[in-house]
Amino acid sequence: MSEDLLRLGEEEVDATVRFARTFLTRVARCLKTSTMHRMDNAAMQPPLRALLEAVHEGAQEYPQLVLQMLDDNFFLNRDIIKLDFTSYEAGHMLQGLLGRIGAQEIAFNGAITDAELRTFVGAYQAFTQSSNPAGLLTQKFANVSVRAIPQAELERLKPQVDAKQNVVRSYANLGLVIGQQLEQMRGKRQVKLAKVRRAIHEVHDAATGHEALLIGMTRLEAYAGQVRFHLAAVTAMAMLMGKRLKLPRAKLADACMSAAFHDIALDELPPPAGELVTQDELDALERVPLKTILRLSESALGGDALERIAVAWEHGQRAPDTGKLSFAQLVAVPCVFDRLTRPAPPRRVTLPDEALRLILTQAGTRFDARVVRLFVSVVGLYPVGTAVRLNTGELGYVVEAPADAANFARPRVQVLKSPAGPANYQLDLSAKGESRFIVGSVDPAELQGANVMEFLLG
Amino acid sequence: MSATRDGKPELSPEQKAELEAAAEVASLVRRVLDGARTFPAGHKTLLGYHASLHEKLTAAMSGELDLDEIALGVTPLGFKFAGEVLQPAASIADSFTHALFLDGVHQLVFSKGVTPEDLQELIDIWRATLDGKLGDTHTFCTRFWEADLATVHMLAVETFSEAGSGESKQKSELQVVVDTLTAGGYGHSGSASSIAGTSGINIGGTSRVARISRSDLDLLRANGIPELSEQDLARFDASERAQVEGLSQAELAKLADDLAVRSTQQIERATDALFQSGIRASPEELVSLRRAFALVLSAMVKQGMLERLRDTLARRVVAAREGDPNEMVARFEVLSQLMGSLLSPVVLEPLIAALDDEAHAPHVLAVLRFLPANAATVLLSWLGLPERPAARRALSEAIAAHNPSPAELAERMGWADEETALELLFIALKLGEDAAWPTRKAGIGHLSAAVRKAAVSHLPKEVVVAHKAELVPLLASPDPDVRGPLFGPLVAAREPTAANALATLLRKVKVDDAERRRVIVALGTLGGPDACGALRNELMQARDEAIKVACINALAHAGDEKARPMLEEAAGKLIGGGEVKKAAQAALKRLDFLKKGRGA
Repeated sequence: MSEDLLRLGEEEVDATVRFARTFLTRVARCLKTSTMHRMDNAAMQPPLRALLEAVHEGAQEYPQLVLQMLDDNFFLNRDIIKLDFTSYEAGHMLQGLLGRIGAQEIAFNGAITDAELRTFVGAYQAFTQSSNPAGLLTQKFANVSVRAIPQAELERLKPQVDAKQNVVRSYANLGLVIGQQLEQMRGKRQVKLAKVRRAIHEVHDAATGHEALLIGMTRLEAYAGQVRFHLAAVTAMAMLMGKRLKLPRAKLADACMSAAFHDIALDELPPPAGELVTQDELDALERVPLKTILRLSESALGGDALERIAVAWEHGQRAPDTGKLSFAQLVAVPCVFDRLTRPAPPRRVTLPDEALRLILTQAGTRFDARVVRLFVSVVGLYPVGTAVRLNTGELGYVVEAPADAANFARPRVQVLKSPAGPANYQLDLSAKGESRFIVGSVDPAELQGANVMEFLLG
Repeated sequence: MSATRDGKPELSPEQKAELEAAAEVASLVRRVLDGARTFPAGHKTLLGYHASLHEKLTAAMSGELDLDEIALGVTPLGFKFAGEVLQPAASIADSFTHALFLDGVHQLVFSKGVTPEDLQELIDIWRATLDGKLGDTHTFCTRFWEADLATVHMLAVETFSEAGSGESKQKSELQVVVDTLTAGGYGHSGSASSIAGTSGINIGGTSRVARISRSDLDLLRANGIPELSEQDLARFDASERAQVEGLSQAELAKLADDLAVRSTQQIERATDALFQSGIRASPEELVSLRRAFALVLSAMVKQGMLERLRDTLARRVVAAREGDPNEMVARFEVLSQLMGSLLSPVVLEPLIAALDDEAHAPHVLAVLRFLPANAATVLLSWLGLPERPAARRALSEAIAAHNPSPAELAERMGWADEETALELLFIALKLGEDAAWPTRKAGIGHLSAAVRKAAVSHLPKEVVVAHKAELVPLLASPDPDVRGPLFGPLVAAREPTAANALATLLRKVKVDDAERRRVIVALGTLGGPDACGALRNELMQARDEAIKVACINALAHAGDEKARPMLEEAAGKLIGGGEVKKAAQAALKRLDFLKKGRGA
């Protein structure tokens, strides 16, 4: 195969993917060569050396290197390997080579020596040329092993993911990907918008049917004030609002992309000095839209950059009197909500319902009234994760928004404290006959020690 | 299931039929993709290919095999079905699935009832992927996801990767984030603020929402959201506005419509965003702002929105004059960046190219009027771009309105092609004869005869006289179009040095008899040693009787005594020389007359 042809399959990948492909290829080449040459043949030495190098390189990152095969998919340490053309061919070669001995897995311990590798490859050679190739599976080798994966374990390699965990992972991934692209921008490197778009799509798919959990994720205290998770939270909330509006997927993705970059220049601000904002900080904040717009323009962010530029400015402005809205309004409300409720420490935190109240007072002026209503109907008056006190004195966390928007003030609550002492039960405040109601949110410190995620994910 | 000799399992008849159907689908997909490159959209042949693919899929999933779906694996070299790569490409360069494979697509699934529209959309996205038209904003996967096709689905590698719980670096980073997020919970540990007078709310219940307080305002400001003003405090009554029950379906639909309309006005909105935000820009940021404006304006031009561009610019000029007087200077600074961005190549090139479109040309010219005063130099660089003569001329008019430097016009003549050079002359002449002279002068030396002619045409007498030192030698130009227009003014001005040039012309350049006669007459008129010497020489050389006569008359007119021997010879001829003889005799009489006059 010519060099050019090999290069055609190249793409920009991170080091992990590159290593996985290289490792897979070297294992395949080493075993393949052993089927053609004796161990002491000069032709055998380069692939042995290359594999040993790869194993040692991998040992710096992983304690063990486990290659597994399922159908057309190849896994390294249970991570699927995204193949390119060369590694795809190598993978299928390896599938055949291991298939001869009835194995779907080969594992290397990082401490493997040259002699140990030679012993294993020599045994592989001997067994594949014998009348009982599968006999290799019964042999023990130092730091190398091959085995047939039991059916049950193979099943586990198939896509089976806990739906709620998937919401958590996809949301975390969105924050990570946005953060990576901000880094790219700062380094004046090419921004990979498609990665952000794909992360948004994944959140969308994962959150379908688990919208309340996604809201709960956006409310988590960790990473409060970090720009990447501010952007992720606003993106997620704008997405849920867009979904409620039944926006077509393409429009929804555009709106989310605008949200994902709407005030990226917040990361240029110095960390807050105290609980209260200083005049200098306010002055710097005023310049954030301009800096965001300039960064968006400098990055030449593709054909839909105009929408993002517009949203970067408009989301901080009063809603137009004409009632003709842009995606900026879908961004503005969650943006303010998130900045009020999850500011960077040591800035004072506003409780979610208080933040909503502040937003409500500006409905019809600063914000479009309909969008505010939409937001409240999406997140609920007490968003998931809000610590609340009931009229009975019970304390707990909101764990699920009410299904019917009309009951937006009556969510499902995990009660953790009652006047009688610690408690552990859930109440659906919107249930027929339920007379209890929320009198207000409380400082979550009053419920310290409780892990609300257990209830959200349980 | 038994194994065949190549180790693959023996297929049942049903499996064989499915494999054949899948192979045919793969082949038809390839044909449609190739067709989409060869034929324009809507071409009969291409439509036929699409129809065949749809028919085959429909047939396979209804009558023939009654499948619920056809799922084709994606490999670097082609589709895969039942473990077999179907008609694999010879190389990845030739493969239509390789780009999808690299994007992580593992499987494409056609569902029962697959629609032609969905197939068309799939092919469009696929074709755009293969042709690299998705840019950096999209990949096949993202475009496919957003197309939201009901009857075609895909399985991408991410679907699998979510199942893993491995320890790759990237994954462990994600795991750290997940762990941090989920471990942190919602505890604010005493950091929550307390707003005076609000112990909680119960919208929809009996309690009212408290009127927004000064402490609320402080809180908003503390969080960097200073939009609320003192007036807002007095104006809002939140209890009235707190009707936040869910929106009805009709309201949701209306809201979605409003969003959709506004999202199509991105260019105006982006321009507005740049303009408004730029008011606070530093000098360095203003430079970046110009680039940003260029990005927006180029999008407008490329989309043919020239009328809107004109209106946008006009509105911006008006807006800069209005508003807060304290920001007037800043607004005009931003305005100058906006107008300056028109000079960016990414804007100006498509803008000027649009002059060739008759419908757009008036708007382009209107836009060009917004260019900054120093735009001429940049505009001149694009003078050669329009193809229509009328478009070129319109651009020249626009350039002339920006007062280009005469020296630059002349300089550009050096490397301008004929059309451009003519426009440069046109522009130069618009500046007035004095300013046009350097360009005329440069044009005189242009390779194109048309340019040379234009450079000297309609030269006013005073210009000719003013620049006679440069123009007189041109009377000897071998190019009749150059020397022609100069002849009259210089002779009429009795420019003595012209005689030498005309003498050179007669000596070195082949001129027709009519012009030769005119020159001879002119030399007679100019007189002087150079003229007379040339005339004598011409008389000696001439074979044509009319030329000889003209020379003799001219010598007589000039009163050239040195010509007397030649004239006497011509006058004394015994045989022949009718007209020449007569002319010579008359010439001698004139010489005698002049001699007497001088003696007296």
